[in-house]
Amino acid sequence: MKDIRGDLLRGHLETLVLSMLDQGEAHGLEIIRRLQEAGCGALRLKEGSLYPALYRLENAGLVEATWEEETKGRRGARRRIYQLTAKGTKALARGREEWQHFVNILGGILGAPA
Amino acid sequence: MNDAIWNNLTAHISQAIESLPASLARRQQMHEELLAHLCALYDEELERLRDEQSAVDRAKQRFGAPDHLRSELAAAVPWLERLGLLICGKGNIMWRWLWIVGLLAIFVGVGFVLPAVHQLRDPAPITPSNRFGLSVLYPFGIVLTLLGLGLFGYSMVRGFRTRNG
Repeated sequence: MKDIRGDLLRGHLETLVLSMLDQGEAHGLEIIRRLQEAGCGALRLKEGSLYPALYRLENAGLVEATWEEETKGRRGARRRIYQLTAKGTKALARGREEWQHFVNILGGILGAPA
Repeated sequence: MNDAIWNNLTAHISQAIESLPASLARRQQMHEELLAHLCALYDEELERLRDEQSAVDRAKQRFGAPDHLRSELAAAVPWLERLGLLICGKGNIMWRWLWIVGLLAIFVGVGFVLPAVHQLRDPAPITPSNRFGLSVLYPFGIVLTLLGLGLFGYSMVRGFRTRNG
């Protein structure tokens, strides 16, 4: 399967992250793992790029984060655990609807319905 | 993980974070979180590759280049925080003064314009004393406001450019 790289994901990354957090709270590395598993290994994202998206979501109140206590093997560097807020859950539902609409319209135009 | 590798990974994150237009608290938080992720990537790659230097290189590659990351992180900083830093941050003294003068000019200019607009909208005939205000102070107020807006915008742009190198 052809890889889907960061440029193609731009604009969808935040909804994808919300969708991964819909499965339960997670830190950045776990979100990346879930994305790669859900994308059958075809998603190729520079992992640092996840964090600006997470910070934007946090600023918008769509996710909230707490510091993890465990720092084993990382010399005291802690991770943050992200979880969806009620506002984030609504934004995810809206994002899914918008995506469905987008795919239906473009699929019809391209002659390749979803 | 030995000190050399730790320092190497820390330097990678620091390059992305240190000149970020964000508060110290936000930069420290980002630094710690991103470093934790990079360390975890290093551990994964070390287990897979069994070579420390290759694991460092691969972890950095997976994480992304600092320059690219810096611009993405900068875009994620709330604009109010950027504005606050621009006004209160170190190293922006000249632009801060221009910014203040611009803002004052806007306030004074609007102070001349608003009463004149009020007089123009008043249906009562314009008296000779009011005519002076409308013909001199009104244009003066407009010029001053525009000058203030220009100075304000210019100082903001130059301040941001100075701060972001």
